[in-house]
Amino acid sequence: MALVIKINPANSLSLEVGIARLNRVHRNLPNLVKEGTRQWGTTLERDMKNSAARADIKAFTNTLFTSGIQWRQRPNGNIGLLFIRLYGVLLDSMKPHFVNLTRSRTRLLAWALQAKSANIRRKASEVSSKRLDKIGIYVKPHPFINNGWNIGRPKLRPILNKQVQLGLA
Amino acid sequence: MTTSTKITYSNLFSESWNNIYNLINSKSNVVDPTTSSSEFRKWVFSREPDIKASEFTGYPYIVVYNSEVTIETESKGKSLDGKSQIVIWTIEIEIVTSDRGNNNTDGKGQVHMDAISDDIVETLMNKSNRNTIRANGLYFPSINPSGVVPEVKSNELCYRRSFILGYKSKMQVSA
Repeated sequence: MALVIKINPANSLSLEVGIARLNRVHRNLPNLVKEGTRQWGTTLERDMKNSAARADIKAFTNTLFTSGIQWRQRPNGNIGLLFIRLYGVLLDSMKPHFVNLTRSRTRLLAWALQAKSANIRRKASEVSSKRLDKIGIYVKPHPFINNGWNIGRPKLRPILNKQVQLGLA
Repeated sequence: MTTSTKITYSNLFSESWNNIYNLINSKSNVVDPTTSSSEFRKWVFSREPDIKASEFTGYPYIVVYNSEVTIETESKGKSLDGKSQIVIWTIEIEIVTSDRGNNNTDGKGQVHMDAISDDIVETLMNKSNRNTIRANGLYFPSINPSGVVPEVKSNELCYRRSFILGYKSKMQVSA
């Protein structure tokens, strides 16, 4: 965005107006950038949650769709960070592996009882009803972080543009 | 479709969103490239649709996200009694298209993206539309499109583009 300030050399008042305007830009710009970063952060948080949902991650397993992914920025800070719970990062990038499904692993059992695969659901119900002690299930990653970042990242420039255009209008 | 009305302190969020949604959701403004004018297909949403749901009608689709409102309580523009303040609205419009389609609509993700983007910019920049939303309280339009992002979902190549819209107004925020 370009801001044009016309100064007429013949008019000394014109110079004062120009300086006052420049001072206003200098005074307001840090706050505009701070607010722009916060807006982009919340957009990135939403995009990351949408990306997780598209990667077939179920909401009931944990807090990934609530506080598990959140934009954190201090009230007076220009810099923020996107916090993702460790299990979300592992879910994104783990190696495919076998896990033992037992009755004591309640959250895993809850997931297995609603899994996509009918075979896993049947075996999980047998573990749940104590017909089997444990079963081995093969789990795969659900990549979502790169995708969410790729969608959210290009929105930074338009959001900052909008902030500056409206803030200095 | 609901009609757009003037934005007041009691409907800062809902009516600002309604004004933009109604503009975008009008077939005369933004044309759905995959259906004819006599057909109906829901393709403008207020949130990301569930693409695996049976009622999902396919690509392309547009999402008009809820508006974000900033009331500048510290700004110089406020009135002495504090009842009028500077209000800034941010509304995001996202277009999602896909390269997968039937017969002659296959591989047209980017073509559809450009056609819909053209229609949206034309609608938002249209003098008459601008006057309408200005009359409803949305001044100083700022339209900022992002680049097109390709995304692969279950072997389907999709494209996304966002428009970040900003509006500003000095208005009464209290009774």
